[in-house]
Amino acid sequence: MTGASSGIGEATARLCADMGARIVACGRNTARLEQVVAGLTGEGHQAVSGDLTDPAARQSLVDSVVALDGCVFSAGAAALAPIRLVSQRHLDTIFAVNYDAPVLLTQALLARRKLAQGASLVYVTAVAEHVAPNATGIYSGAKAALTATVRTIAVEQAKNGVRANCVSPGYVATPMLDGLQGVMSPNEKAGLAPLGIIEPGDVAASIAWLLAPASRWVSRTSLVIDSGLSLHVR
Amino acid sequence: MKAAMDTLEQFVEKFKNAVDFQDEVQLTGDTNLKTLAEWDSLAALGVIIMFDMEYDKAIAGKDLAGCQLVSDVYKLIG
Repeated sequence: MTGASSGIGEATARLCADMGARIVACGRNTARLEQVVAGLTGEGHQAVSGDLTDPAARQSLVDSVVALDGCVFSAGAAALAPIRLVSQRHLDTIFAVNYDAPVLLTQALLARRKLAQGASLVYVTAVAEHVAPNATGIYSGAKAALTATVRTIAVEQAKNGVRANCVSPGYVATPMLDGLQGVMSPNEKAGLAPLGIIEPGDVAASIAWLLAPASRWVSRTSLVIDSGLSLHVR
Repeated sequence: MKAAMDTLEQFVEKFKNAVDFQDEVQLTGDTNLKTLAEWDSLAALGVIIMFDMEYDKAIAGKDLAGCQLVSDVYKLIG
């Protein structure tokens, strides 16, 4: 579980532990990560702190795990910039976290045979790739690129019984959304969604389903969880 | 090289560019932001990014919300 120290990753780690899973939790904030892992139901959980944009951190994570039955790629970062003002730095930062890290971590897990037969991979993307709000061009692009790559991962790994899917959340009440408070009004944005604000636990439930045998015929899909935002007609 | 020593006039030019006004505006330090038809959230975001790129300074929407005049925004350079 990457990005397990907060938001959707944290909520998913808690839910999966409640359902009997043993969690390998990854995140950049060591103190917060250890706090999350200490609070998980059950035994045998692991906290591996590190920045997954760093190849060495990815390597040590892969070294420290046994063959995984499921993998949730929830680490992400959002920043806004109109295309007219986009810089190379903005592009590199957003892609490093949202695209390169999950794709290269997948590569390392596959190369080292750290995915069990029948494993389920779930990648957290964003509804931004479908609804294209102002100033999200690079963020949406990174998430759309990830969605496309996940389809290929799924078809290549089908022979091993491995499934790969995306969940594509709308505005979810997480620290990442709070971080955008300075440049937009998240509550105003969330207000566009007919059903209201989404909580991290709601997304976690969908991820848990995609990890479980209950979804065993589901692969190469992207599940939109957006409170009805993407078909916005009022 | 950051332009930390910009005059108000130089700043006004950069502000105009950041907002990307479609209609020509006469802008001075005394211009009230509320009188600018094109001053919206995307314009504000442009100014936030301009501060980061030109002055290496992180400002937030709430900083701009506290500004009345263009000169108040200039003062955010510090």
